[in-house]
Amino acid sequence: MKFVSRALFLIFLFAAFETSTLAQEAAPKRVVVLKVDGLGADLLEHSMEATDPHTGRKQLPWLNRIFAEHGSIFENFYTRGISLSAPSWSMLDTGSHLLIKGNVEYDRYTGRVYDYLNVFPFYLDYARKRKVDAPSVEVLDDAGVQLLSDRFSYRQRFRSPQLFQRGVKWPTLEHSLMRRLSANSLLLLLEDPSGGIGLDEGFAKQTEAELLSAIANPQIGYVDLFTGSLDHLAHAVNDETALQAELANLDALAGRVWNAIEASPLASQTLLVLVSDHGMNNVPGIYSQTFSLPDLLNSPAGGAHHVVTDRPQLSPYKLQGLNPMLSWVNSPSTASFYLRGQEENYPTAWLDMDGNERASVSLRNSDLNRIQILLQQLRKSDLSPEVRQAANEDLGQSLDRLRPHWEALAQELRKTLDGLAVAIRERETRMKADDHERSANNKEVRKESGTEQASRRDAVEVQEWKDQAKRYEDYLVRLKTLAALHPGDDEVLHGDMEHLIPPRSLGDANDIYDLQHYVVGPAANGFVVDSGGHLDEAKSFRYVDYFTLLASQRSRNNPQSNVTVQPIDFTATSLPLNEVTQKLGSLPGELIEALWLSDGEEHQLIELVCAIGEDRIAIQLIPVAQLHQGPDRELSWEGRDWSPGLPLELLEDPALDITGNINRGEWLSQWHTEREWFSAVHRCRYSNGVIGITEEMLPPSRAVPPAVNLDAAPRDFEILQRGLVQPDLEVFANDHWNFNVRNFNPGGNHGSFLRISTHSVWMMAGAGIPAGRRIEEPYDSLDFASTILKLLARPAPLPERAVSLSAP
Amino acid sequence: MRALTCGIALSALALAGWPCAGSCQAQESVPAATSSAIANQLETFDSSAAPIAPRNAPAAYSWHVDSMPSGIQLVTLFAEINGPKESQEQAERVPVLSVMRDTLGDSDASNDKLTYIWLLTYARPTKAQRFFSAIPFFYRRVSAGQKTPRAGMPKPLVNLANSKNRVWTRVSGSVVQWAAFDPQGMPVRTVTRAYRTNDLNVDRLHMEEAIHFLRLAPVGDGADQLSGEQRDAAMARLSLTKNMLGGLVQEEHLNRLHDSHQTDWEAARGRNWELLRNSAERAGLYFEPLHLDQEPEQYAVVWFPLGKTYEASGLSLKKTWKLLQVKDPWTDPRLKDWQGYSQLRSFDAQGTLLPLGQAGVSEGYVTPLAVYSLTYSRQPLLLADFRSHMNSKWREIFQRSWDDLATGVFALSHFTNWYYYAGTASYQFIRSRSGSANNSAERLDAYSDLRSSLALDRTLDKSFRTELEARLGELSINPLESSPQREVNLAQLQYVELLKAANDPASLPKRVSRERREEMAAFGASTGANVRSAFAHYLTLGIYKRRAPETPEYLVTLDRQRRITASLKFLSRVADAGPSPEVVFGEPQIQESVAVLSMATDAGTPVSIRRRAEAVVTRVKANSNDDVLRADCNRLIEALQSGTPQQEVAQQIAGSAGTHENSMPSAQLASTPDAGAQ
Repeated sequence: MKFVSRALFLIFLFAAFETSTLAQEAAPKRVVVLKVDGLGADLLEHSMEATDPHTGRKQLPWLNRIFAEHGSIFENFYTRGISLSAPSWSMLDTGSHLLIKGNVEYDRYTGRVYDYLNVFPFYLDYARKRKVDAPSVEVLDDAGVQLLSDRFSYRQRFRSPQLFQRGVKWPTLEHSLMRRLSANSLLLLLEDPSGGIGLDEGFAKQTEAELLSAIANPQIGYVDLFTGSLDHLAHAVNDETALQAELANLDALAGRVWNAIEASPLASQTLLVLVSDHGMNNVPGIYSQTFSLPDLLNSPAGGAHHVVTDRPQLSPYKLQGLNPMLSWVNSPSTASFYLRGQEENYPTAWLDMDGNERASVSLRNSDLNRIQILLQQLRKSDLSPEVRQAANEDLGQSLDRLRPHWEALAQELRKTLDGLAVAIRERETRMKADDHERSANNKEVRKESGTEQASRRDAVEVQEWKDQAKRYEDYLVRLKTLAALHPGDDEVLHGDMEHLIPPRSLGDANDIYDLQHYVVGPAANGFVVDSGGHLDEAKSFRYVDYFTLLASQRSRNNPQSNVTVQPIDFTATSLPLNEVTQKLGSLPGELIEALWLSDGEEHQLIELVCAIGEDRIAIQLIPVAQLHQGPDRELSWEGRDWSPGLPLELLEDPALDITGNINRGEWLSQWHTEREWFSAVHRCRYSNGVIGITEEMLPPSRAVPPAVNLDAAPRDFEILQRGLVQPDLEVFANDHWNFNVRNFNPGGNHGSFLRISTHSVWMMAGAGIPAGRRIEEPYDSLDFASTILKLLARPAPLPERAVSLSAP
Repeated sequence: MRALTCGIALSALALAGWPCAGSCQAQESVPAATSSAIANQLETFDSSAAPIAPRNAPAAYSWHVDSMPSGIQLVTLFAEINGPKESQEQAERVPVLSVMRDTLGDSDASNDKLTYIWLLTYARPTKAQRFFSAIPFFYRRVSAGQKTPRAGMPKPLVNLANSKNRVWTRVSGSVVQWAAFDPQGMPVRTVTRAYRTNDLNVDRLHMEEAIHFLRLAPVGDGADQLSGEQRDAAMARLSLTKNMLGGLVQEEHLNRLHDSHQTDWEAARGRNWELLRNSAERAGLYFEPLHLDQEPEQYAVVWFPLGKTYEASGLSLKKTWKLLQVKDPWTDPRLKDWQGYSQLRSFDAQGTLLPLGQAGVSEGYVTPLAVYSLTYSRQPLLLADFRSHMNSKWREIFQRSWDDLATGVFALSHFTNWYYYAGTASYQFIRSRSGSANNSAERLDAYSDLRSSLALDRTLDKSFRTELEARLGELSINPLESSPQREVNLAQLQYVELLKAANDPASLPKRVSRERREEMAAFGASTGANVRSAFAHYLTLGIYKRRAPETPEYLVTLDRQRRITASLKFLSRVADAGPSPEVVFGEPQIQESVAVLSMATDAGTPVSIRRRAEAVVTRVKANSNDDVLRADCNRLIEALQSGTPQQEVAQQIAGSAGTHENSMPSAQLASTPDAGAQ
């Protein structure tokens, strides 16, 4: 009997253990995501390890308890692509490849600005019923990319205000304000006016209150909270105490959320996730120094461009900086060689300087510059007959060379716009049918279910398509006029310049040849005719080689001995695939990307990306020097052995982890899969830069997912638009340098591939998550959404990227 | 009207360099750089001449504690100034600031209280200074200040334990000004307002000086210095005291406010550093942070390379000059043949200016254009323009005289003439957006910081320091202000006087004893009682003060009260931490406070305190998930409600505290001074 009772007791114990294990590993039904902008993994790890001398406890007790003791931590989680907020959150929020490549993007043809970080125009347009979603979400919707929260029905999700925002919750703003107008808050304001009203604090408290209330609701399956306060602070200061205090706030927030989850009906089925979009180059005692790209491009050496940025330079010191609707700010050059006073119509360099440690540069097409210069010169009455004839001849040759390309382009654009017109008509027919249904149903019910918002979204999208199509039509008209131009035409001498050369437009992208021989103006002494009676190309125009120019920049004022005087680390641009394939011959698969990373004439890398089979990618790096593209667009370069000082500094990096008994240079020269590269380089100074750059430069046709819920025509239109926002050049800053001239970020920055900037945070706890696990295997932000969705037993955008959390 | 006329006349004389006795004294310590001196100096700047390098270590700061038999400690901050090596001068230790710590005579820090702060470099103004400060539109320092301190205890700068008094004094001063003096006509109004403004400004100047020294002070947990928390709270209180109602901020907010102020300060410093560096880069100048004291750089100098040319082609530098607050030096003919101060400096291959004394690939003369403060909240603040004596001084005089005209002469009031103030505020806002430094209070703070740093600095090249001191001296427009060098000399003497007063039973100890009894009387007193007491205090012009009787055991009671206050403060933080506070604070620590509270409260504890304790402990219990802690809280709540002997409950709690790891042993709890006192 005693044996039986003991056996029964053991069986009971075993069953209890099994049940508890199963409960822990049960598939979660709900996910709560804490999105922390700019939380660097290095800072967090260091702080989680530290002990508070006052309490004797861990400095971040809740984060330790929730994630280190009861959850799993990805120790090597990285931003894929550049470490900037808009692109990073787009990948984390969707689990899809990058479509948004910067914090601001410009359409080269139409000058449309995609200003992803400015929420004011969105809120205003939402109030005026002209928008439903933030611009970033509109881009993703247009491309048929779903947000993680879209996998839940409207009623099942609670989303806090954030960069990728759907709709606006006015009560949140109203209650935030009321919180700050309490007697206590006002009294404190009187006592310490320097503290300000503290609207951001009120907003944070209100969003938290709403979050906690959503957690208590068992109907809600997706809850998220976005906080940007750490990112703002870390840009401003590198003071460890201040950063620790902000982390302590985050820790307390995590504690409150965890307690709310434990008290909720879905406690055992809830997954809590903490994720950040990028790290931050915060080093106590070192200020991040700004290099002004607008100043360089304004200067004669930089081409004397009129420069467009999304915000005014030094905006806190300008009244213009108070205008929250600004997204297009012109900084004219006082030294322009041929466009003096024409900055409104012809700004020729457009910058994304919100890029911090990285800037994107889009320059007007060099051929358009040349044509405009030729037209201007030909309109001069004092031009000698020989020069006039030579200039006419040069203009004719230029137009003849470009005409076939323009005609093909016009045809392609026409086709896309025609397809879009059909899609617009179909959508409008559908919307009319919806209107009938709309009037039949109660508006409140539709509002509650989200169908009202969906209908508005459809209408906004159609209007957007129409507006954009009109702008492309305008561009098309000018392109056709230009293509039809001939040197003898009256238009050449008397036509309206704006009718010929599209204003506020950059035209087609520049290739390597253009950027190495970029036409910035006529020569100081005007056109020169050679002995053959032709324009002497070299002596008639001023040229700039942007790769050499950027690599040669040095700072006169560099008072920090631990910061290099060279602000620019390297530039990256795409190489033409056909020319590269021709030059290289055999490749292991289809060449999908060829990138050129340049740090001066002698320190260059070519990075090749090949698709092998359905879903395998292989990457190879080739050290080169003196890469040039000739006027015939043929590429040439000199092969080099691996040596220190190349972009990404891989050979000399002690953290490079290669397998097998193989020489470093040899290994680096070989083709490897993306996973092999990732494992080898992620601990290096430039972390996953080898992979990140391929994501950043990925052609939109490959990033836009296959049409599933999207018609072909809108998809083509979106691919066209995404293609037109690709910059000519990506410029990366050296360590502790940045490009932010709007206001300064001395505390720290991000945007580069430096490990401190890409090393991000991903921690999970709760249902289905093993306790006390630290995952050393490297992962990147493309893995995040698919993993979460797989854990929730929902379809993942890239199922093969979902991380398995089963024990190793 | 006569007063105004006299004032304007005196001001004009002062601006024109009227040689009054005071100004002569000031010049003793700050010799003006003459052109011949600078010419001589230039002659020495050939490449073989030894550079005037900052070879001395910056001033080091350390604490010294003087314990007194009356149960107080004077914790004094000393600055050790290293003299120039050339002169073989010995290091000089200057006491700059003393803080009184009331320890009640024991070594337990939990019942300590910081009260007075003495800024030892601050002495009361002379009669002449007071006279001139009452003259309207007189904007000049008239005297170097007291040569020797008055006998007796120096005047404390602030009482940290009673900051409200200062608020009421300031509010009542304003009320008297509005109600009594302003209606008396322009002469009385302008005179009283001039005196009051100067007085407030000199007060702020010294508050900032004290903050400056505290910022540099080392901190630690030892009894021989201030803890970080104490230092931060003192800084926050001093900072708040600059505002009229700042003294009303409750103690529990101080550390949070300090963190917030400190973050803003750091953010401003970093942004200004970069703004100045960037502006220098654009304008072809050289930016160099100034290393004074032992602090992170708070000031920077912008140098102009003599004999060079520069063209910022393609850029408009209008905004840059506006932000730098100086005129374009590249078009200044004076710099073509500069006779002023300059340095021979080295440059590296990239053309970067190397630190003084470091060799490079090339050399050239540079002259300082301006020195800036990096801690002004909006932008770098020009403190010294080496080409223009009047640049920054005029800014100060203009704004001050504009305000004096509005309030003193035209008697514009914020209430009846609100449109004027609204218009002025809008104008100032627009000007500040375009790069003007309009905040005169913050400018005064920046000036005060540099003034203090320079007074204790020996690292800068002597000639440069002299030049800078002369420029900075021009910003001194307050007749109540003393010479910084005189203040430093005075500090040692004031420290001696303070020690004397602390050892004299009839002086500081007596005052402390009175204040302890006031503290006891206020413990747990109702709001009504506090209002009545304050009313009686003001009605009797400060003669009446509510105090507990001086019984033989009053220190034991005060000790118990302070422990209750400390425990309640800690437990309030625990309760505010939300659910499961033991994750953050640890059960033993919370239990220890519950036990201390239990031991210190008894039937004699005021009802309001008992109720507050009950409320706080109830919140802790409700949030906690720890059964032992909840049981302890229950015991204490029941005891507080029923009047059970506290010692017994405390023993039980102390016993249960032993059930947690790292908990305070029950024997130790039982042997705390409180237990003994019971």
